Amino acid sequence: MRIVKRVLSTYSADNFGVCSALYELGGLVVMHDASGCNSTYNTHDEPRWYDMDSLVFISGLTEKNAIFGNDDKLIADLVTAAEEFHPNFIAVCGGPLPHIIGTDFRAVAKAVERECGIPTFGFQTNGMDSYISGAGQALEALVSMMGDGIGRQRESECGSHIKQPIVRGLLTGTNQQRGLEFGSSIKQPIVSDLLGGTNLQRDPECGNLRQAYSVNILGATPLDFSLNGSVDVLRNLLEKEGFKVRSTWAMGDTLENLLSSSDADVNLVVSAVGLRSAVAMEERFGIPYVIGLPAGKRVTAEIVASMKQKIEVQRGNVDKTLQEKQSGDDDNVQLAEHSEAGDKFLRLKKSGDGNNVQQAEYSGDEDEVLRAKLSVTDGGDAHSDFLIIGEPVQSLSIRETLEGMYPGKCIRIISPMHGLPKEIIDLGCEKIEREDELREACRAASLVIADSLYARLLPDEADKFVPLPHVAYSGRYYEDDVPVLVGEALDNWVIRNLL
Amino acid sequence: MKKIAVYGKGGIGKSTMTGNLAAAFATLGQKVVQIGCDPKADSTINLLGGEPLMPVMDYYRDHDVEPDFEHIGKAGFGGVFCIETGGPTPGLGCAGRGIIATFNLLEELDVFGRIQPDVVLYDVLGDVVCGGFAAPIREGYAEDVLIVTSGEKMALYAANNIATAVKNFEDRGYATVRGVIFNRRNIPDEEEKVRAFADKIGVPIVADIPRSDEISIFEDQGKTVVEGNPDLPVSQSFLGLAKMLLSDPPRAERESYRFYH
Repeated sequence: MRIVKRVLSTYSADNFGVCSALYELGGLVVMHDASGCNSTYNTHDEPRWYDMDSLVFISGLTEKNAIFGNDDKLIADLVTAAEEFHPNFIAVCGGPLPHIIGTDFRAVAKAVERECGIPTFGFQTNGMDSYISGAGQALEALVSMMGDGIGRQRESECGSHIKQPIVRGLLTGTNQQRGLEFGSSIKQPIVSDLLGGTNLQRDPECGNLRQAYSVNILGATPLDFSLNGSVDVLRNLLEKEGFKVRSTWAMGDTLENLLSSSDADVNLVVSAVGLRSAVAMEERFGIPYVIGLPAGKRVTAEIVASMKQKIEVQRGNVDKTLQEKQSGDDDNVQLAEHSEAGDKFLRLKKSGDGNNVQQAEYSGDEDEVLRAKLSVTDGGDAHSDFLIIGEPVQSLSIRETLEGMYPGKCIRIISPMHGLPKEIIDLGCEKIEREDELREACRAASLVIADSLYARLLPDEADKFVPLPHVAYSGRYYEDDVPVLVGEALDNWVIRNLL
Repeated sequence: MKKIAVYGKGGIGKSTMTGNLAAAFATLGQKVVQIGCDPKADSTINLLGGEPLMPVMDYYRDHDVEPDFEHIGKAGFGGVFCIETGGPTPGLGCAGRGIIATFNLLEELDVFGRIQPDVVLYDVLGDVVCGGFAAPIREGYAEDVLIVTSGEKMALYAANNIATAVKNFEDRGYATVRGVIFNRRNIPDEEEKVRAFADKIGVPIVADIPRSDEISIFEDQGKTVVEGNPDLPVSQSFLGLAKMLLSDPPRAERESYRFYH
């Protein structure tokens, strides 16, 4: 009973994560589960459901088919649906029931792909892990669809097995209009200028040509970013910082563009959802990645510098960079400073008491690092000046920003999502899921930044909760209040809400 | 890495065969992991001096959390790393789910990555009665299946069911039947019956294990016969089987062992 949530909600489940990540890409996504209330979390809770069509289906698993393990029926239904809709790919996963009877979705996918020739993925979801696991698996699977060539060549190769143009994008108008015009009136995301043209761009300030970098944004789903324009702000911000946004995984972009994006210089993992695809692309294509959400002026500068440094290292320009540091070039000084600081933007550290972990990391002593890490996660009742509960990558940016504004304060991050990747936890988040421990952590904090539902933990201390709604947690309850935090917006949000 | 699942009728001697095969591989210098996939959790007991091992599911039940790497298993004879899935009380719960949950945990903890075994043996309860009991032959787990049988009618009946179940999964990239382990019970015309069965399903008899009192004698001491006396003929049979399996080329290279077309 310790894991029972009495007043709190749960995060969107892994199968919802799969649907969310693949929603705009023209695939057939099938949830193997009993028909009924799962549509609430896979479809009706999906913020794009009313404005954008997507092929999300439930298989309608019956007791009989569960008892007899009639995978053949599922396979036949998938093939039939694929023949009718001609999707660009097929994804199949399940909820708790197939999890219990051990349905082998990878094997099902294999059989379907063999039969209809459409790339098919099976995800071992269970309806109990968090969306981070499911959406992460889904984006990672797309990496396996990417070709091996470079640039345009790869684009054409990838395009060859896509049976129809992928024209998903934001739709406007009524449902009726959408139904009539689907496939023809959808705005094509502007990608042509990203694929071709020069690798140089003109610096608007000095008019000189300077080298441009290209970046894939990984891990953008409405579950973490809502539909409040955050992703557009993020794209614009990166473009301003000299980066061509090569692709956005997976909002406001096309499958075709995603699959041809392995010529990007760097991947930016903007949420925990994006990590698996970043690791897969690093392994397959050697694209380095940086974990961090450019939120807050200070954090954005660090992330931008870190991405540039990664690219320069990749290009073998590090020595040159260091030389230029000596000659006093400002940009390169910044790059060189970050090259000394390690290969990740967000370093593990604890605020307020000497940055023990960070210092330990710099010391290179693994035992010391471990001891310091343990001291960070010293239980639910450890005092903190600020407690941030939420998506870990966003929370890390908030912490960095707060550290800049409140030097010396103790800032704690708790990310209660089940199935969080270890690499993300190691960046300095605590993984506490139990309600009683979360309550103690909130009680021991002076201020709690969290989704509005967390205020239920301490009704007598509601004043100390600063609401930061999270779609993956409270759905559309507070959707209109989800703030844009990208770029300087986070600094402004902190000033408005915390000062 | 060789990954082999051992199936057969309940009581036919799967755990005895698997434990001895593990001991034989270890004697030949191989790093071995043996995973007992049976709620009885007695697969590895003779590799551990007769001391039962805390099964993964028992740990889960007692501690409310899954075991970490330090508690998931124990090294036994010849360094064989022993794991028992365990399962629910008979008549309750879902034993198949217990196997799947244990396998998921093995992946999560990167057990094979940490141990780097040369050979992994899955000792699976009785028939392939549900999805959970097919888990050991799924893609990524065992590549070869060994079916243990004697010449007794019910043992052959179960063996045939297992062969049929494995064949049903052939289009999924699952394991294929590598051969039959003939565990003699000394009934009349036993060899002919087992040979006829093996021919019918198109696989070789890969080992002929004589009826041997020494097996029981050493089991009473908490040992496999391979550990107790490797020079005995019965021990030599297990060592011979281990050598033969080690000489198999990787699965991808041996299409001739794909018996079902």
